[in-house]
Amino acid sequence: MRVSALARMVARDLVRTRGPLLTAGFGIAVGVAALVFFLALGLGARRVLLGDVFPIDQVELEPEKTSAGLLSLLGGRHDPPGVPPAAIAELEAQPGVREVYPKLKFRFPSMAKGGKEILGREIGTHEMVGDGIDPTLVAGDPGLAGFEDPMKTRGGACQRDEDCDPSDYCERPSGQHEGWCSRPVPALVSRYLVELFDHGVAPAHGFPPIAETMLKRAGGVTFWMTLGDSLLGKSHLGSVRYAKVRFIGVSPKAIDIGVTLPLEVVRRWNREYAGEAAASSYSSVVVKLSDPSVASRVIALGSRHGLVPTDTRARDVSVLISGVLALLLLVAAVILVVAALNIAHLFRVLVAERQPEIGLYRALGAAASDMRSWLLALALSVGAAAGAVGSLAAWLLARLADWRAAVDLPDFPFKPDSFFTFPWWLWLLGVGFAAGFAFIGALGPALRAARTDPAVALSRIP
Amino acid sequence: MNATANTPGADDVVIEAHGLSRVYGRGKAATRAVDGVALSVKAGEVVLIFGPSGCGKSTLLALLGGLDRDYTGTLRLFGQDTRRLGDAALSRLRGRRIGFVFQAFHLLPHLKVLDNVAAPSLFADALTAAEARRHALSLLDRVGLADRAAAHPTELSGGQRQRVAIARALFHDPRLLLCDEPTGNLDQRTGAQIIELFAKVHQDLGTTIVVVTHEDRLATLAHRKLFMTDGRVESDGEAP
Repeated sequence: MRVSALARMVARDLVRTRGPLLTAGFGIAVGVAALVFFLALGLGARRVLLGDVFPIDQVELEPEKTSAGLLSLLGGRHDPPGVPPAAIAELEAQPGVREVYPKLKFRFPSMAKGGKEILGREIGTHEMVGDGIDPTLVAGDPGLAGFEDPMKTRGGACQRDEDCDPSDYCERPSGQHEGWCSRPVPALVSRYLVELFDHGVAPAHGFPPIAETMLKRAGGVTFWMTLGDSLLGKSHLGSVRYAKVRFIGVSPKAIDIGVTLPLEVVRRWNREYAGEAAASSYSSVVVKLSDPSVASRVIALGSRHGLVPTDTRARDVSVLISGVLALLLLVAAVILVVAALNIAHLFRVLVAERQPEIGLYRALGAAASDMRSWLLALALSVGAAAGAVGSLAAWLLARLADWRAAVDLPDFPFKPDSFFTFPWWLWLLGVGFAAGFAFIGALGPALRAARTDPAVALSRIP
Repeated sequence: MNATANTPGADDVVIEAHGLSRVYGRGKAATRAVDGVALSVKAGEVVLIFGPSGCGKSTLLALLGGLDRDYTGTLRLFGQDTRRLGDAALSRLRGRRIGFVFQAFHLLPHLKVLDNVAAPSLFADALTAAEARRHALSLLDRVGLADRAAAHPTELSGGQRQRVAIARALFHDPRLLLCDEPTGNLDQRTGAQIIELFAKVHQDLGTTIVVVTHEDRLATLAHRKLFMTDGRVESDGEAP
């Protein structure tokens, strides 16, 4: 039987049996709409929570904390263990690992003050935390050009900031008579911090949100860091001094709360205020994954080197999302199963009603397989159409939900423009699931139609 | 179809049956609807099968048309042993070489007359949809119903419906026409018109025609008349 002839038969049936087929298709459309809606919501939640809030495409490992830390604190000095170089090499060689970048955390007290350019007045923090990363890690990132150690292109010798250009400052390490004029140290912040400021700090102090402003004015926002001193005390080494720092942008590679500076800058400052050990050993290592499923293997490998994940929230959230999503998908699956049963019932009735017609077709030259194909093609058409309608309904519902959320929900950190994600394969999945369930529902009746005895069928008066 | 046409001798004998039996049910409840029928029908013959209701005429016709394969004995159609043919091959043979005309017409009420006549094209690869419709229209013209091509079967009289059914049966220019009580639902005058149409088809196309009936009106057409009783062919003789 030619495909064109099959299409003609199916088209005629779609017109002829439109009422019952519409009813059966409606059930499938509802099921698919629920399936696609929940899946899109789950994917959207994953995108926001695991992409922005708790990225799951990376694992940060740090040396396991021990009770020796408390003892050393009482003793007044503490040199925490670092990440072994062998661990970094092994992690880089792991399949599914995209890149590995070690971090060096601030091992000295510091404070910061600035922001007048965008906030109208200076703000500050009495306890500043931060880390350093290799500048090559953000070299290709848009808008982050200039993230490098400013001492590579240092200016002339200086003793005071006034000896340098007004935009620069004098980087004069503790105990040295002279330093070098330096451009402000470039700094990155995380989107998490920006969101926290915009939705937490800014409203409390009447500041405007800085997310957009800072991105637009990247390069012009500077602040002063106090090195070697903070609210909790002074450093044992070095002397208190100041460094000029400039925000250059927001990066997912930046520390969640604090600032991220070029690695060599932090290494120098750690050496100056905490000694050589604090400068030479990395405090943590971030492992970027091209395949999130290898996360557990990466964690296991880290544990062999005494490294533990700094944050397990991503995994916890992932499990939570998966659990909720599974429940919602179960609801959708139940709807689809009921719809498939409805299709099965409808096609059973159709086959029973059309026995003389099936007998006639067999007399006119139709093979048993033609009868099977006819009914299955009809079911697939109904299913695919219902799937397309259901998917479209889910998309419209999602748009409506996004619109209501934008209007009704208060602003909160990481509030997305859309709570849903509709990748291309979700549309295919919706149509495919619908067609599949309709196919399964019609399979029994179609096989029965193929088994119809034409002589018996024709003996029935149509 | 071509293979059949090329088979030596296939053109001479259209139907050849030996010890053909059909039993419904099992054990004590078994009913022998067709009981050891031996039959040979040559190309171009018109054979009438008479007999009272329930004697197995329609069952025999279904067997001869390859619609019922649950038989014992031997049946050869156009030289081919139907038992050796798979469902697809037998369906192809049926579609291309055998036309059926039923007492109840079996027209599809949701289709127009033209589409009813063209329905056999759905299961054959020979013609496009447009070609099939053109051919169907020419067949309707032959049975005098070209002007009703756009009507639905429910808008036609009984005689017109049977003429449409005959046009459909002739769609693939079959070598064998199997008719089951073709005038059974028609009045005297309309029945006579249908008989005339069969005569014309036979005269024009030389089609082999086997007609199951319990009426004698078709006797004028026949070369042979078979009488069946209780599933058996009691007599097989030339028509006067």
